[in-house]
Amino acid sequence: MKTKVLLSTMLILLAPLGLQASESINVKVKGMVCSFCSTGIEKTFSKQPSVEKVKVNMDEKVVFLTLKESGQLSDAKIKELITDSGFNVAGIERKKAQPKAAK
Amino acid sequence: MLRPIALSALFSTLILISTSIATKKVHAHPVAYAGATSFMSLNMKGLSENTLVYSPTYYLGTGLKHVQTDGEKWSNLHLGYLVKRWNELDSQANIYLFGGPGLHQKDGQNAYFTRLGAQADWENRRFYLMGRYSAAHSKLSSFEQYQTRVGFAPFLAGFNELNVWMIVQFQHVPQRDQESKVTPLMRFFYKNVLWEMGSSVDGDWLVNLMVRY
Repeated sequence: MKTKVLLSTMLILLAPLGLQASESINVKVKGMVCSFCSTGIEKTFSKQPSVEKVKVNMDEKVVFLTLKESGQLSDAKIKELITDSGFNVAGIERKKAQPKAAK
Repeated sequence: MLRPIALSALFSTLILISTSIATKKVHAHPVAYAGATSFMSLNMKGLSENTLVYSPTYYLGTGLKHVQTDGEKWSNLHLGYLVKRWNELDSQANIYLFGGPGLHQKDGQNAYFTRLGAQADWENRRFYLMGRYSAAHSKLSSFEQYQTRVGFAPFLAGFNELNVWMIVQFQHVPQRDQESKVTPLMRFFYKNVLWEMGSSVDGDWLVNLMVRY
């Protein structure tokens, strides 16, 4: 019993310091055929506080986003930002990145 | 020939129609992204055009344009509007309207004028087609410009690489001595800077620059 209480207490106390996984998002974009015109996408997403990294791939017509730990970016917000950049979203794919221990 | 007032009315009507279309959820997006500022400088023998545009939204550009031809200056408020854009996975096509009122200076005289223009283009990563018409009329004189461009990218460059395009520009300016001109040119762009260099078949130079930030 004592062991269970001790373990539970430790879990509660250590939860905020626990393992966290950042999310990566692949956004398929329609109309992204010119890199000069697509610089707006990189700039717009880089300004988002929840975004850690933006990478544009012209061959795949995909914008790769890596979110900060505990960062969130909804599909609706992604569509809005892509539209503001002058393009349309063809699809959004989300992946949880390898978890890493919080500092 | 259309008078300035008639042109203003026509332009206003076109803007109203375009706005009406936009409110009906027809996809209309800007060339520049919302919040972007673009500087464009187009220069060739006997013609220089500089434009500063701020895009408050994704379908509108507002700014100033200054055009200088042989002995004439045309300065106007610039309004650009993306009427419609077709975004496909492998291509993009656009229709724009642009223009605005301004001041025309010629032989020490000043006159108000209105510029009006339209542009349609289509491109994928390999080919580029563009047609453009622009007209400016004042009581002092008129200036019209027809332009068509056909472009080809010899290789496909990545997002952070130097892009190279080979373009042939066909231009017709009825009011000039040499009305029509064919200009092969090279277009380069890297990140947010685009520049073009060319020479017409008659040996007239062309240098263009566009920076977006």
